[in-house]
Amino acid sequence: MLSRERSNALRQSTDRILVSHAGNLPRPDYLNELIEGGVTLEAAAGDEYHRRLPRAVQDVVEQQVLLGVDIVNDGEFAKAGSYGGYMIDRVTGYSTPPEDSAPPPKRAGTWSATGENSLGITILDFGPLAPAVLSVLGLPRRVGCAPPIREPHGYARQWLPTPAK
Amino acid sequence: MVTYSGQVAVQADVEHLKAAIQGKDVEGYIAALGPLNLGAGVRNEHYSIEEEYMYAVSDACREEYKTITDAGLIVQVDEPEFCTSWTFYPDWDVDDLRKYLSFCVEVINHAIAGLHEDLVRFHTCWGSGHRPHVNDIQLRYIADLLIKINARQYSIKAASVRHEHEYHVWEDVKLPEGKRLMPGVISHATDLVEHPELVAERLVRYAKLVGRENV
Repeated sequence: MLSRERSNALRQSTDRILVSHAGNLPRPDYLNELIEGGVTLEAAAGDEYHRRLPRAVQDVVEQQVLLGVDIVNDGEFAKAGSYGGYMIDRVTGYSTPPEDSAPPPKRAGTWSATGENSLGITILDFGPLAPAVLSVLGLPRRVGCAPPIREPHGYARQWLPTPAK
Repeated sequence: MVTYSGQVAVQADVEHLKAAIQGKDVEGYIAALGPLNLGAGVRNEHYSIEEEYMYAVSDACREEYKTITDAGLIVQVDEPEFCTSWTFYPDWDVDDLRKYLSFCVEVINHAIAGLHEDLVRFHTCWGSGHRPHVNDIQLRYIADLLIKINARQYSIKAASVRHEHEYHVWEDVKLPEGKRLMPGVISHATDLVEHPELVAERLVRYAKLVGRENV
């Protein structure tokens, strides 16, 4: 039986396991036709995309209901496949330093402001957002420096609680 | 100075989803980027210390989350960085990582402070890139920190061949009372369609460990 601890709260079920998913769902053709060959987030910011969005969300919710999903979402269609990159348009305070400033990367695996792309824009310092940003810009990607394989053998014994059984 | 400017956009997200679920026997959720994923990889040149910067990032994120939860929808805080931070600092050992993640828990809790916990789902994973994942931090080193995040529900990758075995972690780490676990039991990392009985097996493993009503 489904029960709610409060109105609109996360459900709990004692007779079956509830179904949800983590986010991005396939877009319908009538959205993809605005994106194909274009730039994802840029297309998703367009008037026509926004005009078609409510119907697309309605359709994807109905599809989830049909499939038995209990906790549904909007397919992340407004984010157009960029789970992180969308946020670039929703925050202020980040800027792009001059091309010749060439700051070193903040950390390993972070895109350098220079390097093979030679873009000189610190939007690449967005770390995990960088691939999304590069995708938006339609630029080639380069894998950041890979850390060595590390396996901290024995560490768990130092802090893990003793199993109860 | 980091500020949130997406009020109109997130309000539209909320309205579209609310209209779509109206009259249906379902809950609605919207994913929103976590503060670590937004800010941790970016160089801070404005705030005096990194901590101050990350709290400002959290404040900005909270505006997006609050619009979602104020509408009665569930916010899914998307925060792969909780797992993937390990790969950005190759000189760290696990103690260093855990010290950093303890700070991250504070940052995340600051971002969701004041929101109704029932409406907060925390999602983390090791990234969906189709790569060997040999540098993924093991869940057993960070699970006790994960459950310090003030979310009702923890969504975590649980079906890829690199992480499927980690249900055993919950034999040692107790899911706190009132919390729910949302293991990802269908993997994006294989082209094969998993047999329903395999998916069921994955679910039952978790149900036996944390209680069926908490999965």
